[in-house]
Amino acid sequence: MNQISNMLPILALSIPLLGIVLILLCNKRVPQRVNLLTAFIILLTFATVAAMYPAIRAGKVLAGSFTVFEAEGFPVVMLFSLRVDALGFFIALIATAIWMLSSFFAIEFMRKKHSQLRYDVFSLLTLVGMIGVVFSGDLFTLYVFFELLSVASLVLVIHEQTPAAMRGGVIYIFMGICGGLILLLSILMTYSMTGSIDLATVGLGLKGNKWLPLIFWGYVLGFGVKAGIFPLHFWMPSAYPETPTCAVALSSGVMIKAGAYGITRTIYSIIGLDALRGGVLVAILLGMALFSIFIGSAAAINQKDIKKLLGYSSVSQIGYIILGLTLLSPLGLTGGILHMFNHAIIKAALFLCAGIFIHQAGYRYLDELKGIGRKMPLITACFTMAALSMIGLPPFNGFISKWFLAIGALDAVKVGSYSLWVGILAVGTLIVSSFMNLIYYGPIVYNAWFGTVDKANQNEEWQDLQPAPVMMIPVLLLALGTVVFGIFPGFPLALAHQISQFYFH
Amino acid sequence: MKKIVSVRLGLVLLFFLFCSLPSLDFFSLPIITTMPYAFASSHASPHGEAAPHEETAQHHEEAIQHQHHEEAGSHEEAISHQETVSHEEAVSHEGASPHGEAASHEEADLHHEESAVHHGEATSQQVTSKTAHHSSLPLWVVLIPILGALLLFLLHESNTQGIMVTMTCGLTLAISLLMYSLVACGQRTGGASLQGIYTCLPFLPSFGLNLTFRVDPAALVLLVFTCLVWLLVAIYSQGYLVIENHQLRYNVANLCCLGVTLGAFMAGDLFTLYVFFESILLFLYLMVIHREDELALRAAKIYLYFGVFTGLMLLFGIFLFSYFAGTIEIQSAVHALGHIHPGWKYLLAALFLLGFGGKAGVFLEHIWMPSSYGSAPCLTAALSSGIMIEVGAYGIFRTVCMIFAPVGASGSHLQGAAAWATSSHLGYVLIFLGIMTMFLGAVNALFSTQALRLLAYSSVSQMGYIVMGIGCAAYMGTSGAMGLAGALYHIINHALFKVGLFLSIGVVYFHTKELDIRKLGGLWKDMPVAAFTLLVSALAIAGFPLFNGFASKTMLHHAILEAYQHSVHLSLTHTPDPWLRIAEIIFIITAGGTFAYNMKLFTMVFLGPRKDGHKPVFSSPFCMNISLMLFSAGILLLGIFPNWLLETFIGPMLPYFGFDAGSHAYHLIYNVHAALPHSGLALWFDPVKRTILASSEVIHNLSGGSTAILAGGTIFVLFMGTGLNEKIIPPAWSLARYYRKAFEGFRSLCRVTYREVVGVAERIISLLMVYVWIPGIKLDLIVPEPASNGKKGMYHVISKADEHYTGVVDQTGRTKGMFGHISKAAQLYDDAIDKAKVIVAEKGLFGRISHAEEKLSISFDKVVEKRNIFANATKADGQLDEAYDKVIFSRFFWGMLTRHREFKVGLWRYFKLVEDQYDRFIEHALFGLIGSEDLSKIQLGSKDFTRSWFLRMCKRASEIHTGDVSMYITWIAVTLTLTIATLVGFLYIKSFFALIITLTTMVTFFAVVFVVISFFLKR
Repeated sequence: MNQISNMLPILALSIPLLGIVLILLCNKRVPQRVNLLTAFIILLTFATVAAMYPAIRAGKVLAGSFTVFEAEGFPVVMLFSLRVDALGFFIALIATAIWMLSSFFAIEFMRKKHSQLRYDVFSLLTLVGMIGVVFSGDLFTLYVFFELLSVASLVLVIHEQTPAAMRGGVIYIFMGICGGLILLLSILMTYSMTGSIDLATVGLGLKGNKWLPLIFWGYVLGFGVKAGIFPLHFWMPSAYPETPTCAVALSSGVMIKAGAYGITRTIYSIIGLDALRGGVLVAILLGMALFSIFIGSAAAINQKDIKKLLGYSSVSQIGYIILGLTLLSPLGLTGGILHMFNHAIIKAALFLCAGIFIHQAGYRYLDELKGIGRKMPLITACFTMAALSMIGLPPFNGFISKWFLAIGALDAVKVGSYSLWVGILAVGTLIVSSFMNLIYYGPIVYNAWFGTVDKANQNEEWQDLQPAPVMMIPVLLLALGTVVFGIFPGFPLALAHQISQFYFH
Repeated sequence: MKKIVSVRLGLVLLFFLFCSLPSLDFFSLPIITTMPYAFASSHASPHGEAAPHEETAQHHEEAIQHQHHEEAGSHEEAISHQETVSHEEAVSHEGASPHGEAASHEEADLHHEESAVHHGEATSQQVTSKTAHHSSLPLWVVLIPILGALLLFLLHESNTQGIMVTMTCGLTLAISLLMYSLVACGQRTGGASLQGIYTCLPFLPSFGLNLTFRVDPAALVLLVFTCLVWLLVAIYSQGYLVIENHQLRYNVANLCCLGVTLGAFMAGDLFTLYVFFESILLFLYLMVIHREDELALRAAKIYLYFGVFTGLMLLFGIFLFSYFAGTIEIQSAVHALGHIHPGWKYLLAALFLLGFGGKAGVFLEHIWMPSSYGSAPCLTAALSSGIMIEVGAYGIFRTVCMIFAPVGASGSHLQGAAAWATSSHLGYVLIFLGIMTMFLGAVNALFSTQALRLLAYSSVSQMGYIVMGIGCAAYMGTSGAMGLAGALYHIINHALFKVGLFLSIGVVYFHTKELDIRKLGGLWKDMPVAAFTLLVSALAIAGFPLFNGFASKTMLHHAILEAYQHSVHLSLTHTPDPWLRIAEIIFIITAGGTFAYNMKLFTMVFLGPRKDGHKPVFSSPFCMNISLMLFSAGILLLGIFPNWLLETFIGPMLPYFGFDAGSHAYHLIYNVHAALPHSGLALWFDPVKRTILASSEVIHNLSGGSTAILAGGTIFVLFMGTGLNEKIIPPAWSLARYYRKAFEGFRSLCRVTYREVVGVAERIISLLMVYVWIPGIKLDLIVPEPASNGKKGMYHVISKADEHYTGVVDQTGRTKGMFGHISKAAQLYDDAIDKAKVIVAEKGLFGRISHAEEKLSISFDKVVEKRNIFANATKADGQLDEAYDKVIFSRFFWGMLTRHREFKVGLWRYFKLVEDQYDRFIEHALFGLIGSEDLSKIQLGSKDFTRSWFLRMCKRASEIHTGDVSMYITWIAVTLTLTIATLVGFLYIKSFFALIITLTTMVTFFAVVFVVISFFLKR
């Protein structure tokens, strides 16, 4: 194991934590600059994470663990053992990048709104949770950060403090904590069965264990709540409409990837391919993923509120990711991990565009968004690009991940994980879902550009609609990302391939 | 200002500098030597020296590896043992091919002097050089239009746009002509070395995904003619676009479209093909929706859904194909698919045909064409109909004649007829698909009165001819040369005459802004050029001798006759297939119909009396006229010298696709392998002997055409005489209805899924949490499900009301500044009720109440949502009173509305429920709106009973913040305790110190988090 000790992981975690202290101190003197400061703290975090790239690409694993307690005769307890491999780095990189763009967006978005400081503090705290989850070297550290992620993001969810937001928050924290407890149960069972909760392996030796199904479903439920796959997604539609849009972009673009990351670790690191291949457990999860794809799209078609629509779209897209993970084939895993990357970009772009629509024009219902392209052409163009990418048309990045997922599904047949019919069913679901994506994204896009504007919807605030540059630039960058990573998918694909190779070599 | 000008100049210069790069590639051609990629071999006759399929694939892979120094992944291992062998072979081929070519040259010369009897020998001795040029030209052909579009967009210049577009098209044409010598399909020698261009752009080489372009003769012909037609249309558009808005957008979309269409023609593998295929959709969409009116919006919607759907079917096919065949190259997959169940093969073929057929507009998939062409500028219709739907036909051709045909792959276990079985069956299906398409297209065109729609149906019909030709080619296997030649020839001809037709109608629209041919007439004096072009194109499309359509249609007719005769060999009973005879008869009838509807178009638009209401017409812009004249000239030239195209382009490529051109009855007419330089197709005129053929051949050739024209004339006279020419097919018969129904069915499936699965489950979870788990939350925030066991319509009403009620209650809580504008709400409400009243009065249906309710819901949602707008408005007591009165009045009306239908006793219960909902809704809306802000300033006056509600609302508002925070903290404390207990249970035995440290850390951690949360929650 080419593991090298490095301070970068610890640095990446401590920068936001110290940043919290910093902004609390600065709040007294320059309360207007807190947002900006937060954005730059996250930029620094992003830079720290990005600095690990050379080592990761060279196949190294960065370990930043420090032993808290070690004594003769007692097992070693490593609290916060950090261990960054390619998978963790990949998720952390995209998470910090999206977080940075969202926080720059929030500078303008949250201006003149209440409780800015609270938002910034908890945004940083949630970031710590997010990075911690993917940098964890063992399951216990992961659990702690996972709970931190749930609890800290609750404050972002109930930021508006309206009854609806409170209700969304209740459902969110209820499901999050229930999931967390189930996860804890599974972790403890794993520990008592195998005596190890290390994440560095390709299977902790649970093969043939009679408790395996229970442990597996514990993990799936725990992480699945955060990921929002179909039967566990209920917090999404109730929480999203009332949450500030920049936070929703984070939740839908990044935080649900923590769940997907957990499921990846469950399948490939904790339980291991050997124990799962040929069994019914992963097949059921695959069925859930397919169901999630269909149901999410079906629900999104029936939405009138753009935020709810995008939320249900996330349910569908997380299904794509889980599908890729559960295919148990190299290309499928590559596709699933690639889609984590691509979906983060696309969904963040869509939510930030929607945020601008809501913020500048005050419109969030699809009827009201007609003709908005004539008023805000640049933002609508960004929305269009992201929507086309979501539908999966070339040359956008959504097409690349769709291609790899479909090829991966058929690759799974070749590898012998599933029968041909399952492969065809998976590909067919992807195809149908693409068409359903068109059904709900298409009307938004063409009505925005070409729709006739309802006179009753016109109001005085149409006059000054161009958003501030600091809101435009993150959106533009994300929209550019959908094209750039569609035409040159080499960078994310190489990393995804590296991860996949690690588990399938 | 000067700076901007110089920047623009610099951009233009840069562009042209860029465009000159391909010529470098051309001149350095001798250096770029042949690469060891084995092109598909010359023909698939049993004695042919065809390269085995694996070798082909392997050569390819080697090339890629060699080029990019990339690991080829798992495929490499499987074929490594063959490497040495194939190297040797490649060397030997390279060594041998010059001799082979030289020999074949000599032989060809001999044959040139001898009679045509020996053509069979020539076939067997033909040596194909197994080389393909590696050139970057295809890439430039795609890139230059797209870069031109980018430049256009950056310059934002309005005056020189047209010139830029024309020059870009011209450049593209020039570059595609550069490829001519590389592809070298023009050699008339019998042993033509059929080379091609092969270009591979690494996209994701380690995953086997690359952008590959392969220009073979078939692609080159289409390429050149596409560029040519596009150039002429660009010239025309300089005049025409004056009457359209958004010229820049149109030009940019147009150029991008050119680039991706060319890309689709040149695609070397299915990945590349799909990428360009879908890109065409997006750019063509912009061109279809160009006018942005209602019609265009609807048409574009249909086109978008249809295009994406068929594109996805193609993608599905590509995925499955890559699984079964293990490759995505466009080459014969007969060998690779040899081992799978035939059902899969037909599934693959069906998916491909569905995908390509949607673009081509074959029967059942044509519905997007009339609406799109009818509402878009005529340029869109011309380019789409002339060129882009040919992409679909081209795709069908590639599918049936290359992928499923054993061209170039002589699998060891599949020989002869067995290898052709799949493509033969597909061909049989395609023949009838083509016949149906052409017949129904012609019937629809006969009954159309909108000029562009008529021409759109005409396109559908012509596409049927092409598909039928491809079908014949595939059906007859190696002897299907006539069908393929006819189809390819017809594709080119169709591009010319159909664009001519559309552009002539464009001139009419340019001057009169009228497309309904019933309102037009007598225009030939005003627009002589357009009238002439329309007449020429109409005669060409009708297959009149001396016009270009005649040659291709005659060949297609021969093809179907041959198929009829050939069916003896394929049927079990050794009798000809009677259905093919019927197909041939329908073919003749359709040809007649084609003549009739084109004559109808011409006479009604240009002849007869001038209808009133048209402004005096000025002369058309010069560029439009010159473009039209060039089209007429092209049609006439090809019509008078029909054999030129056949000899230079189409003929030599036939063996390349495995067709034995000399093996059928009409080899005298179509005789490539004799390869006499001046005696190719001689339909009625023999250029060598300079005599008109008086033999039975010519009579035979002309008999079909004359029958058709006679029949067409009869139909035409019948139509004009009885006034049927002004009739249209009722919209109710339209196929589009069924598509809409299917689509709506799918949507309602989604709706039911959402309501029954997602909605119910979410509600259960919410109720569970609210009633069972969480103490302290407001129960009335979640509304219980209303009685759902009722009739469907009423259930809908109630659930709507309920949904709506929930929404209002949610929103009232956070609505602060609405008070002053409640009158606005009432106003909107009244409007909604008025509309409902009208609807109910008119229709008298109960179901319509739901409609009213929905409108009510929308109007209230809007009002409530717009609190930002009204935040600073005044809050006046008088307005409240007035508003209240209005609401009461509206409610009174609502009561009347329900009572009006009281006699429906069975449904009364539900109305009762609705009314309850309604009451609650009004109350909540009203008092929710009052109860938030500036309480002290509001005088409630006489409305005493409102006070209690008012106070309750105040109380609730104050409760929300404090109550929930305490609830969270309680909840999280419980969780923490649970966590600790679990931890203790599991970890105690392992390590005491570890436990202490863990617990301390966790407690501290959570405590800090909770304290911080509760601190910050104080707003």
